[in-house]
Amino acid sequence: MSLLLSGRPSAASNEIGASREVLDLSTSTFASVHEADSRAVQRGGLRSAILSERYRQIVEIRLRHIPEPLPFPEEAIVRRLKDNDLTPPFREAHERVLELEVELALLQKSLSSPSSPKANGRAKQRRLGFIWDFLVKQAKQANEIRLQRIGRLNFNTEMFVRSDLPASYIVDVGYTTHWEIASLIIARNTEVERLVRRVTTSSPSEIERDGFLASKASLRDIEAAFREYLRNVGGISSLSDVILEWRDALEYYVDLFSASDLNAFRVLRPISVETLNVDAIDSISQGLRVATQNLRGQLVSKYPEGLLELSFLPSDDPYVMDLVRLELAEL
Amino acid sequence: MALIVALDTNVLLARCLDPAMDSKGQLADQVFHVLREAGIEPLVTQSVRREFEERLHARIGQIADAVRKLSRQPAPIPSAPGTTVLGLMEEIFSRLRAAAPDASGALQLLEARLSRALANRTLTTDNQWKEILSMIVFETTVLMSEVQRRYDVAGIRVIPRVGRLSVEKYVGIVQGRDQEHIASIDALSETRASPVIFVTLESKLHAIRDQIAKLAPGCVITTPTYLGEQIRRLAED
Repeated sequence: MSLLLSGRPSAASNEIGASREVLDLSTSTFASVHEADSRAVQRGGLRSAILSERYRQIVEIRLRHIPEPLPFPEEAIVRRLKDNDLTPPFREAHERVLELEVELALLQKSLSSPSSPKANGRAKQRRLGFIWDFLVKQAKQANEIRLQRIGRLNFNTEMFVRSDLPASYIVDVGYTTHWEIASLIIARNTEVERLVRRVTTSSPSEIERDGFLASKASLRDIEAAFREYLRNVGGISSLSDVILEWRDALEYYVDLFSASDLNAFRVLRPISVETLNVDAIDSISQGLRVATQNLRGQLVSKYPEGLLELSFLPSDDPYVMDLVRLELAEL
Repeated sequence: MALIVALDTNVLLARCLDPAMDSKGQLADQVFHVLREAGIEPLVTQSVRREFEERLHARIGQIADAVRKLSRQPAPIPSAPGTTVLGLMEEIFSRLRAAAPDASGALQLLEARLSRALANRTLTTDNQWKEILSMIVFETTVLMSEVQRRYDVAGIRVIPRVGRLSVEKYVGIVQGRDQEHIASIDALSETRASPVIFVTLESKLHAIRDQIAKLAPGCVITTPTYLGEQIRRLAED
């Protein structure tokens, strides 16, 4: 079982299953039957809220980056996206991610209630258990995100090859995807390492749940460390979310504005640039590049070691060497 | 006032090479070593930073475009006796070069990458060929991120632009985008009323350093070999 994400951020999709076996919340010994019933109701509500928020963000943030009036009504676009999410082969991944989000929200809710200053050892253990489960679920969620992003990049690669879109399209979709994934790995692994070391003095790679629960740190220190973890991971996530917003806007623009009707939206097909406005592509791409630049700047300042350790390609990779040598020769 | 040393785009690129495997990579490594020893932060002008990113972006785009063109050619699957994958590939690349002479650099990179991809496998179906091409587009975007990462970890700060740039006075003397780099160094040196060192690997630029010095007395062009000496000399002044 691992709390850490492994593998190169750019690994091809068949090499992605990096997370080792993780604990399932259902093994929790704390939930009574009554709690389980109320949790079922809570889960249903959370599922709806998470889904509503997801599609609201698409309409109110991502589609708003498109500098032209939408060719189809927003409600119809959302309906099409929902249908697409529920169609095989996407449905399974959609359900997995949604379940993880629900579980994370439930755990976060449990963790956000303040602990009593007189809390005993059992309360501390229970708290640690929630934190551990939260970290495990988050590692799973991060891997799902990585898979989903790489799937989207592969879709775009296929679409690019069939289309006559400007080459900058696939360049922007590609490198920004790799940076988004890299930020997820770097920030999360560094912060998990800090949190676990602060709570147990061990590294996350050498500790299991029981060892974590046996922490000698005070409940106050544990909670402070966890809050810091959430704040720091949240800081980088908010920057990588901006990348996703712009990249989705770019992808949706190209897809939506070239579609003869909504049935063609999100379907792999050749796209002709003649149906699009190149200025609109440039404008969205510019936003995407700025967002990626901001994320890279934060990684340099906050996670220099993580950035040094993580490499997309080996230092002696011949493709990198060939490219740089060619640039040097042509300068 | 602390001495400023700014790096040319070619130094940044060479920094992305493994110094153990490339002589230019070694030179760039030497620059960073000298700066570290002297306690000087490596800097670049905004124009150099922009050139680095734009060149990279354009080149990666050219490669992706070349893959797309390649995917529209028949797959190099040997069917007739005596034909080989490499023989068919040579014909395809020759056609692509004739059709897009501006993309020769990108085609050269793609050709080398494809040869490596095909070295240990047999190509028998169109699907295999398409898979290889898709993998190369994917990997080419990874390549961009990796070069960017190598730049990022080098710890280079971008100097905020100061004053108005007088690019015009370098026209006819300094070539291409170097005009903007030199004008930026000139403006910085004037604002600070102190010399600024510009380190380059480009021998043509080094060859006209005296001409540049006449137009921009505060702009000291040097190469990695003489960087330590220039730092000592200017520190003594």
